Amino acid sequence: MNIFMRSVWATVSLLALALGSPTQAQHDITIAEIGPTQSSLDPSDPDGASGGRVNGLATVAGTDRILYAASEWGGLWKSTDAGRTWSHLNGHVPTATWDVEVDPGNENRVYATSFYDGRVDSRAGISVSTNAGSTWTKPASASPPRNFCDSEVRREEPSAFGIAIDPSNPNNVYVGTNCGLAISTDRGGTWRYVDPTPADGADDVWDVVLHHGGIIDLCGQDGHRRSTDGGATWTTATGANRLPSGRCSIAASPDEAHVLFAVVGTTIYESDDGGATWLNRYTNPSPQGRIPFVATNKRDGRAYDLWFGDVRLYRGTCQTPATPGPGGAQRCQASASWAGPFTRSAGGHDDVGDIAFDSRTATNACPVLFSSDGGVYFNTQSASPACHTPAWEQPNRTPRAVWNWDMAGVRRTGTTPEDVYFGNQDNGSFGTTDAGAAVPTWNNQRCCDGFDVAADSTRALSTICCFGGGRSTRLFVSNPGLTGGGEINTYPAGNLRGFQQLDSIATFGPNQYAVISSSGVFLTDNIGANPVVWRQIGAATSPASACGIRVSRSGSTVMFFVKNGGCDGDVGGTLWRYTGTASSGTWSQVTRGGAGQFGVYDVDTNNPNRIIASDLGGPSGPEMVMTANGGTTWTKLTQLDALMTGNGDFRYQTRMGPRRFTSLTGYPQPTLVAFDPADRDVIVAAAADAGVFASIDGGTNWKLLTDPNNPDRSGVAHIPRARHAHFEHDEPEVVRVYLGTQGRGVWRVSFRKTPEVLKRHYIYTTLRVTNSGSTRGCGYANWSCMTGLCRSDLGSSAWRGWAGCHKSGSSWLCVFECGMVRETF
Amino acid sequence: MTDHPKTIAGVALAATCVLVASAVIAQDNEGPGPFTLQCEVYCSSEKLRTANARLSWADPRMRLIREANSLDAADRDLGEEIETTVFKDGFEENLYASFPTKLEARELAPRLAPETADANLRAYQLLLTGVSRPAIEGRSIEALLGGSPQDVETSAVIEGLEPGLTYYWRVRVQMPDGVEISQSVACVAPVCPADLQEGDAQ
Repeated sequence: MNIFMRSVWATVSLLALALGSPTQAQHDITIAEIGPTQSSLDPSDPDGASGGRVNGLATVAGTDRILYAASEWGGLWKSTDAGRTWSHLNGHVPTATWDVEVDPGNENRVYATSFYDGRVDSRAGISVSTNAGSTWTKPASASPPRNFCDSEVRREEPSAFGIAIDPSNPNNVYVGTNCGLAISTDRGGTWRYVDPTPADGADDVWDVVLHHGGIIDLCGQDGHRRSTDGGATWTTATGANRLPSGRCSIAASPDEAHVLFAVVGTTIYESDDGGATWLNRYTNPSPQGRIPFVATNKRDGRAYDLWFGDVRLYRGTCQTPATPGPGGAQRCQASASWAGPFTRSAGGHDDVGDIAFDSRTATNACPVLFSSDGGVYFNTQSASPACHTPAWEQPNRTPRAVWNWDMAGVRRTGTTPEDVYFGNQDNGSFGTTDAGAAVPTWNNQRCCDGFDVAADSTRALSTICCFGGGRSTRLFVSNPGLTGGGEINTYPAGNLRGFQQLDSIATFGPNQYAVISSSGVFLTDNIGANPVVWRQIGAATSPASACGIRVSRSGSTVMFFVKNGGCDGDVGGTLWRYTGTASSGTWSQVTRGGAGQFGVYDVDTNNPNRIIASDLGGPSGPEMVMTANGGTTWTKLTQLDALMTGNGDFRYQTRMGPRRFTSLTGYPQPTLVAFDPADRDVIVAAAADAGVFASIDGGTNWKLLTDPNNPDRSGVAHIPRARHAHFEHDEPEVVRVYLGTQGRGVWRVSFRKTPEVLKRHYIYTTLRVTNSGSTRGCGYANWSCMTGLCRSDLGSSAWRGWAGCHKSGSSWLCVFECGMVRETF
Repeated sequence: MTDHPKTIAGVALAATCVLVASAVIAQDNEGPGPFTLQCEVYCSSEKLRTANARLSWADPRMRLIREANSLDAADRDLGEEIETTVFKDGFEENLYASFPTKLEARELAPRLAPETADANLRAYQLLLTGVSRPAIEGRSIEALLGGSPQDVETSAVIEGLEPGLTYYWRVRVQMPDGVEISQSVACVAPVCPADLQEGDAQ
């Protein structure tokens, strides 16, 4: 194995600090998070946003200052100023997070849950921090035992969901997982797994609530289950009026142990007999099913509030009977009378995630924070009762967890001027003309679902969804920086593409654009004309599900490439090529040995014969390939393959990893391949979990640029799911690449393309050694594992990081991470 | 609005469908063992916020053709129905809805099993929007039965799944020699968000 494969390029200044090596050249590689920290659109429309989807929230007992947020794709975030500014918790490496809660008796002890992270030795599922979120561990017992789940893949690819801490005894912590309910009775130190329906194997428990002295109510794939004995035995409804199977949220009345509320799918249920029946329902005032939730909040006397969120946030008034007891009328007013909505019209973004209440009081606690597709919003009303009619405001510095559907850029002269555009899942479209600045100025021109973007030096194109009347996705032409302009005057036939990671719009010359619609691929020679004249190319042979358009030139001949199907790049599709701009041509398939199920791909802008792709159709799984002759022959990029799996740390293809929204249906690692249009030697690639990679020799050798393992300790950012790239060259030998991600915002990575940089490598990797052998790595040190000890023949000075041993079956397994700087190899 | 059904069925189906159990039929004239049913779920490209399921299974008429060695055997009305439940033990507890899959069935809402208490359950507000069967006319028996499994596959599209729910599916066919019930498969209805512009109806 080439030692380069184990190397990581990193921000040298940070490395020097970490390793005590002050002699390294500065600025060899720099990584900067440059995405917007506020939405300029928010004051007029809160459905413009810069936060990205946030799911669960947590408060800290006794203070309203410290808050936690679990984002959909961008990891955990924390605020220590009552939600005004948010910082990423780099020590929590799994990025697709679901819930977070804080021990009410110890503010340093924090619990978080996440979806599968692609690792062979997964860190996802249940995570515990004992230092207020700085570092996180996954206790060994937090993984389910073998042969416990309804399929082994659930154990191998763990995910965890709702967290509940027993308010009467914080030692007891309960977590719903994709393999039943995990229970800890020692504040997260050790865990055991319980299956409420042991006859059929453990499966999804999506939410759990602890109340009234330790009663457990949960919901998930087995519907609702209740235990009053700590999880030893369970009861459920036996008749027809039961909870369906699926993703859910559950809450209990603060007064009556037998009154429960739940939302499953989009339907709101109430049980007044401890879950024996779920007869009462409330009409969902704004159904969509993104991730609906229910929560209760104690008010004066026998009153309490039922908070419900789906598209919008509502508050229902509930009343406990004078003589509490099972049955009776439903406890809350009909949803037609609920107060609200408290989202868009109250300063907050639609598509709600969670709500958090002031922990300093048990009654009439003010809502202090809520989450949604737009991130988090704090309540400007801080005193009861006014606070129960919240007026939300976006933070001064939001989480940066936006999910880019697309990114585009235009090169400008000078290091600061640079046009960059991106469209986001439910956070609208953003543009800037100073992307090279330390803090770019972003304009959030339009809200909601921003899909494709494309640009030239005089304009920017963006597609926006969803309009209720007529065409749901529309194309806008704006000035540079995404200002002004308006909707295009004439559309090509068919509907514009949306909700796809791969491009549907590209420019192929001055004023010339190609647009994919549901009817095919269309070109215009003048996007500024009125009307715009569109012509379809190759109508008779057009791929039925075209997406992912790429443009290349050979001399004066333009060639277009599209994929057919697999439009997120994570499912295979065939690749097609079209020569010229006349409408009468023919699409022809580009194959790999007569086959080829390509995931992500790119074509060299200046050489249509150079194509790089992930091939997802091979018998042994995904592999990275490249051709220099238009597909006649392909070369396997074995170094890149190795990096895509972190040299074995990550699965190339997951089976139950998070794909989009809450779909846990698996994904392959490759998320991006991109040729640098200005330098044929430079190629960038990325993985869902394993980081961002670059080659500066045309694809022969590859380097890991980011740190997917321990970004908190290395100081090198982890950039997951980079899906879009834009290159810039304003300094000699410096490559600057802007990266757009699915859920971790926008980044700028700069590195020098010099021979020297190849000689400076930060080695940082994870090795595993059992007591049955040894391995070589980490600066050629030979490592061995003895009972309870990891040893290096170069001594401890040759490495940094940590080592840990634990028993694995009958063997001791030594897992350690190490890093060092070497000048030459 | 999001995906179309995946063209690479093996990939998508492996990811989205879970084999639940083999159906056991307590009937005197029980037919052959359970047949295979596959489901895939996707967001409609035509209707906002609409989740669909596509079910596919081997056309049961093929067995009749094979046994009779005659294409005329395909003319028999087999009384085929798709059954679905959102409860894990819903088939055992008769908490399911069913759709007849006659060729003329279009935009057909399900009927509910007698034990299903609430016909208004959102989960069952579904429509069978299309059934596609293998073409028989003009083909020889050899070509028909010697083709790929996809060539002799029946498929149906069910529209309007409640997002986030787990739907369990099976197909029941009244064959001349008894009832055949497919294996049961589970698919999670996808979320199909569409974030509407200000002023548009939610």
